[in-house]
Amino acid sequence: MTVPARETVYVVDDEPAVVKSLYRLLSSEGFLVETFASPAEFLERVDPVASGCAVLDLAMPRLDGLALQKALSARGSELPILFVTGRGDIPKSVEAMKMGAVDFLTKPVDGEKLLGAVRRALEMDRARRGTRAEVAEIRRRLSTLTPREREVLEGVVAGRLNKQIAGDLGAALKTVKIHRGRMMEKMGAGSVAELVRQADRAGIRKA
Amino acid sequence: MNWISYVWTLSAGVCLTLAVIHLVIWLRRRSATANLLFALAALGAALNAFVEMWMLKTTTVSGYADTLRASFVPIAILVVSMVWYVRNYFGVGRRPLAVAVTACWALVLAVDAFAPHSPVFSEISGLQVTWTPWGERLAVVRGAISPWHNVIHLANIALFVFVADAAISLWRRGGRRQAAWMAAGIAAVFLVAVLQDQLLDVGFERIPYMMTFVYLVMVAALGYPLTASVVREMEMARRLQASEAELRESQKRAIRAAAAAERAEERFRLVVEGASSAMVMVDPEGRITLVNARTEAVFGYPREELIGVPIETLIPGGLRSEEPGRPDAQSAGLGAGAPGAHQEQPGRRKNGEEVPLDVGLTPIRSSEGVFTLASILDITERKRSELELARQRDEMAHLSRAAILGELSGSLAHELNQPLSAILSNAQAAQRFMARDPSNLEEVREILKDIVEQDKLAGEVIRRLRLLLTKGEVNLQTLDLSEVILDVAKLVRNDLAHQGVTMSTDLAPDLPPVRGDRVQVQQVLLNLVMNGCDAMADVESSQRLLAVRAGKNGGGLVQVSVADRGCGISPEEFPRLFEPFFTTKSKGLGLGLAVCRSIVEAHEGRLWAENDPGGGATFHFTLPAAGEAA
Repeated sequence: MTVPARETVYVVDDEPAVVKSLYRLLSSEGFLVETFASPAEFLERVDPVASGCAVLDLAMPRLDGLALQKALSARGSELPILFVTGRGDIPKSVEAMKMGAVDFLTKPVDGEKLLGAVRRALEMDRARRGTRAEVAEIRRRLSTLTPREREVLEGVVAGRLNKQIAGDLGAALKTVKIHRGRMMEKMGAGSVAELVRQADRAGIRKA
Repeated sequence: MNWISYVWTLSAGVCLTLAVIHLVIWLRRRSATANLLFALAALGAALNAFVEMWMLKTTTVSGYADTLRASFVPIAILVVSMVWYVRNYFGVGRRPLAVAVTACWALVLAVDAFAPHSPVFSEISGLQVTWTPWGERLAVVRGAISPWHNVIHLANIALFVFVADAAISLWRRGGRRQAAWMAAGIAAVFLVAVLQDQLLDVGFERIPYMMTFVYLVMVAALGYPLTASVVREMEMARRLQASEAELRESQKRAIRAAAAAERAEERFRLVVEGASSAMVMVDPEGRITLVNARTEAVFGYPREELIGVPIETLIPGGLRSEEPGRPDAQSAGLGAGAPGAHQEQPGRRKNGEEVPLDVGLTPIRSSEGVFTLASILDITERKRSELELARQRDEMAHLSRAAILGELSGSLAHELNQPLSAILSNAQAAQRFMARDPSNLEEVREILKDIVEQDKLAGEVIRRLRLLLTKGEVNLQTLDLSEVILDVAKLVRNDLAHQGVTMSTDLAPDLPPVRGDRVQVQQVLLNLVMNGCDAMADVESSQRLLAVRAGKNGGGLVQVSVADRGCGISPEEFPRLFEPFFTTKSKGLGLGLAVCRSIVEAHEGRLWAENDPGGGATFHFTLPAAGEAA
């Protein structure tokens, strides 16, 4: 199984008829849907870093929804999980939510509710996924900086003036200005405010 | 003493004995004149013997004369009574002769009494003492013969003629032996008398006077028939008495037998009358001949209205035997089946009401043909209580089913939720496909097909549920056990999954159909399966295996076994397993197994449990294959 290029909704239920109907409902909305008849099959085939979300039946033989959720997170998967259940099992649902389930729906599930929940889950996934990409870019840019340029960046982010930075570093003001221009260019930051935001994302302001 | 003393005394004794015997007879029976006359004759003979002996011993003339005179009295008595005895007893002899003899002797006695001499000797010249040839002393008289002697001769002639005539008459009449005796007696008298006279005449005097013997012979001869008849009479009286006694005895026996028969009949009547069941006796034509009080009570007829009426009045179907081999008896409305063959038949009361009966027939063969004794029980109450029992069992079964469903409810809700859930999602997906432009009709068609299928599935779940909750009548039908088992498997599937139990089924392909009530058989299975699951609650989940097997078990039975891998049944629990309200579960009613057993037994099957050697318990039950029951 290759990692799907697009975000996918993974449906896991031991009831084939239910799986099929969910598949249709979700595909009618245009989602890419993949179905699994058992948690074991899903665990075996899903990519931990796949994008999308999972719709799991809470009560399934052998490995139930909660166990599956644990197994997924143990593998480092961050797929948002939606639970559907036939039983209004409050202790289980509470546990599921604590473990980070994004929603908890009871069967029979209303189509709009389900689609809404799936949409929200996908957005969440997307957002999380987006943040992660930006930080990675900042980090990549940071890695291109020379040590001197890095020191200049830290000084700029800390709000110090060029003269002060030159004093801190024991370098000439002119040299600091050249380093700063090169650093701003490498980081792709048009202004000091933008650089600060980037530093915040990368978590280096306090460092 | 000498021989004369012996012989004469002996003769006198014999005569006296005879006299006494016949006198006693006369005293007892006054009409027996013959006995009296004979007794007198015998008495005369006895006296004569004494007098003669006395005469022979006298030594003086005067003494001899006296004894001679005295000797005429006994002779007169003897002869006269003898004559009249013959007339009276034998009915023969001429009366004039008898009178003549009597008269002669009366004259002799008169002479003897009043004349100076005896009627024999006018004068006694002397007494000669002689000796007998055997040397005994003997006195013999001598003297002139008296003219009165002729009277004695006359009397003797008359007597002779009388007796001869009597003997002849007797002979003619057929009494030959008596006649012979009589003639012999007479002949003896004359022989001796004539012999003695002649001996005296020729001067042979040395013999004793021996009339005693003559008289003795005569008495014996004439008395023999009378004595014999007395003996015969006595014999007959004895026999009569014996036969009377016998008769009385047999009469008593007959009376006793009759009484016994009467008592037996009375007892029979009392037994029939007092019987707790209605008893009806039917004759070979099928008509009622006997009924008891209970019959009146059961059918409401007074017995007068029943006697002679066809049995069909009470039992419209007639008395039928289950024995098919007797068409003749059956055509007559009779059953001649084995005694005690019982059958349930409807009867009819006088008021037209129908009454369920248990009829037992006993054929009674008599000279008049085969009667039938029907013992009839009114089983209204029994029927009612049977129905009540069945109703209670069904009620119990229903309650227990409801309890199981309570336990299963979560699982069943899920079972129903699945198709509903699928239907909803499908329908909403279809709406979306329709709303698109262009609408995906192909997809919608597929979806609708699935919706129909899912809806049917939901309906099926509801049907199963409703079936289990049905409180309707027990409906015996031919069941495919495999189907029932798979149905139950579906019903509990979700619950088993939830409990982590894996259920396997091993159903023989040649499983014959059984006869039973689908709901109740399902209930039994459901109970056993759920018990098996509960028993494995503490077992590691990979070991929670429940095996349901079904196969043929010899004897036309189908056996179903439910085996778990739990901890088995403890020895303390074992004996109480099927008791109502016995439970090891915290929330069980304890009715499940008790109800299961009553259900299986109502199906003529058996339910039992055993521990498996490898741990766990197996419950088995059997049901009769449908072919056998039909």
